[in-house]
Amino acid sequence: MRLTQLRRPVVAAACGASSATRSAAATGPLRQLQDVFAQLRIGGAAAKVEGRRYAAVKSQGQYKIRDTSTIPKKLGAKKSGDSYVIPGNIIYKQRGTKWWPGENVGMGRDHTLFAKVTGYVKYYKDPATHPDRSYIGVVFNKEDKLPYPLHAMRRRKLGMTASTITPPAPEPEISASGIPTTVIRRGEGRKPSPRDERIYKLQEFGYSYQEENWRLGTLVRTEKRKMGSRRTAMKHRRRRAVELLGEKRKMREDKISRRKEALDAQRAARQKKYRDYLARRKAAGDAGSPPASTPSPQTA
Amino acid sequence: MSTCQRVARPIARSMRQDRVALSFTRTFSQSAARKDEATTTTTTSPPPASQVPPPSSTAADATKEAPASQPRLTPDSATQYWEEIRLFKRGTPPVGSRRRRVAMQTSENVPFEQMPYQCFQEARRVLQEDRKEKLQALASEIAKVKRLEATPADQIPGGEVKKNMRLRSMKKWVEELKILADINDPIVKRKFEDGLGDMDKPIYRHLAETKWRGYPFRMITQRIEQLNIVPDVLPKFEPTADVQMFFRQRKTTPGEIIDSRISEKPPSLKVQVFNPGERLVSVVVMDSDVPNAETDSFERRCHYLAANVPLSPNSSSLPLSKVNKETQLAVPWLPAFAQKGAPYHRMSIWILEQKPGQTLDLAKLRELYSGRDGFSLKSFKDKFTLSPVGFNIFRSVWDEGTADVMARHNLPGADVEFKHARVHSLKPDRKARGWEAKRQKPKYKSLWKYTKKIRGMPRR
Repeated sequence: MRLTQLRRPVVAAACGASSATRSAAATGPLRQLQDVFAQLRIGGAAAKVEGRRYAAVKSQGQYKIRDTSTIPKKLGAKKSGDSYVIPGNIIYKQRGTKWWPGENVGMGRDHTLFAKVTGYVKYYKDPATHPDRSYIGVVFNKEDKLPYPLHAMRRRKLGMTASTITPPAPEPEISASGIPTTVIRRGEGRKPSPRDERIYKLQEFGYSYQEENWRLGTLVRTEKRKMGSRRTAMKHRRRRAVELLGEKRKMREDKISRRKEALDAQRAARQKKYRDYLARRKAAGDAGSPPASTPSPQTA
Repeated sequence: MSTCQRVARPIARSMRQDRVALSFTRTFSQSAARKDEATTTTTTSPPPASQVPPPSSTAADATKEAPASQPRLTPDSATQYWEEIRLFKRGTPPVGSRRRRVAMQTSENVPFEQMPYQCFQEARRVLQEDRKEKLQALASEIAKVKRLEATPADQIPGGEVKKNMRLRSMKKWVEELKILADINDPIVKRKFEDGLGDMDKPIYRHLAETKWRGYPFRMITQRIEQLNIVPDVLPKFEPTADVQMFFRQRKTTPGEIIDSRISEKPPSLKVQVFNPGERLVSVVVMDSDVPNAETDSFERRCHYLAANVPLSPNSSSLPLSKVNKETQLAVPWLPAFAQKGAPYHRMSIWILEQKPGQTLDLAKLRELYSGRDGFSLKSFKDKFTLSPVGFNIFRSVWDEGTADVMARHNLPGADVEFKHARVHSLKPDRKARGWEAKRQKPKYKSLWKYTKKIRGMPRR
């Protein structure tokens, strides 16, 4: 066996060699080897064995996958008529729809019927809905009969409890360690836009401040435009553009007014300086009047 | 551009401008609607037997009334969104579609009888002949009906029953003939598509009903079935009138979930009936999903009730906020609201037709239904012998504005949240197993700081 495995590369080598040195390779060790293999070969049987692989590790144990047709599927009724069920209880397992979901019963991916409410299982026929089908339903009262009378109100239960909403406790402004729980970083300029406001929260452990993840998320737009009409999208775009323009204008006005204020301040300072100078002059010696050549800052 | 083209360009441009200016001036001086009004009235005038007043085109009226300083705001020339809105508010909705209005302004608007297409004119002639035949048949049928009505029942084989049966079928055929006479008229079709049709005429009602039965009717019947309106609110119901609902002038699709801030104010309805005549209707808005945690069930509540509201095919507008407070409004509007966690509330709007000549006693209605809770539409319908004709629906759920809306209207219960009741498993409790559970025991006290606590398993 091992010889046959060996044979393949050797033969390939031999073929390669023979094509190159056809005349010279008539004698020599290669030729001898080929002869040996030719003796070993039994008809064409060796060709079939070629390319077969064997397990490198021996299998252990006695486990075998059974034929799927003989595995028990455990189908059938899991709850009989009138038995009490809660939501999610499996009532019937089946292949196909032997039974159909009726009142308060749902059907799963593999046609499994399950209860949707708390109640009692009923197996019934409903000729008004379908002449041939058999249904499984769940009723709230054990003595009820299915199907319910035609045109009657649906019977349903709320299945909920009312609880009062407690408003969340207000967050303390200063943490236990004496530092503020929230830090707000405003935008640039004298009148920063609330859009540029960034809110950082003190972390539960340690002294670091971090922006909340949902706030960070609002900075990035990940989803595509909602598939509304193009006109609506255009409207919103225009509105945003107008808003931006307004903001820019406000910033510009702000800048101008700041410059004006700075100029005013400068002027006031100059005036003050002059007044001080006058006062000093007056105090030093009230002999002469201030020289008329000094330019008045008012006219500047 | 070649030299000759360049030379000819100004001439071509001036010609083009001329044409545009010409069309505009013509539109201002005489609108397309008015131009062929006379022909339309003659061609579509109903048979002499049915006494219907000649149609007064609202669009044409508006054109006449519009002052010369504002030539743009006419129903057949408005192309801007704001113009349309203003026209809607004025009560003279714009004609047809925006595309149609632009086409009317830029085209020649040649009346059909002057169109220079031979085949078209031949076809019109054929149709007119057919119409003449239909009118003759109609006249003879009406004469037959009159004759039969005049004959006493004992002279007819079959007696009273047979006579009534024949009369019924003959009258049905008369109605059919009235429609058949006009159904192929291109002018009728155009007027209907422009929204200028006179709903007092059977042909326009027929066209409107056909249009409604196409998609809106199917949609509303589907909603009735899907949202279980039919077994829950009424045992049996088939709508016969078109009801459109507008919140803040926006049309809502049936069954849409409406924000509670929007449904704070009552909607305005547009009710189109397809049978002739003026009638009185009652309007009911009710909620059929009011949760009650004590009884573990749902209840019903009346949100609005108005009675004796006049309605006819030609007057379809019915704003709920503008009904007469003394003579029509029985229970004022209560905003739609749903408490937190509760499943959606189905707010259904019902148009119930009163019997001819019947007016409901408002004092009695107020006494019966001002409590709002436990309202049953079926009992209301049976008590006052009303027949439900129209239906529309919207839904409401808890949203950000609901708490404010409830506070504004002094409605209690904004601080209640509904949560699903815990359903305990049928299986018995199992002892906790696993690495963590094992190390909850006092034996592993030294490891407690490394292990997590398990709920319902106290450490000792």
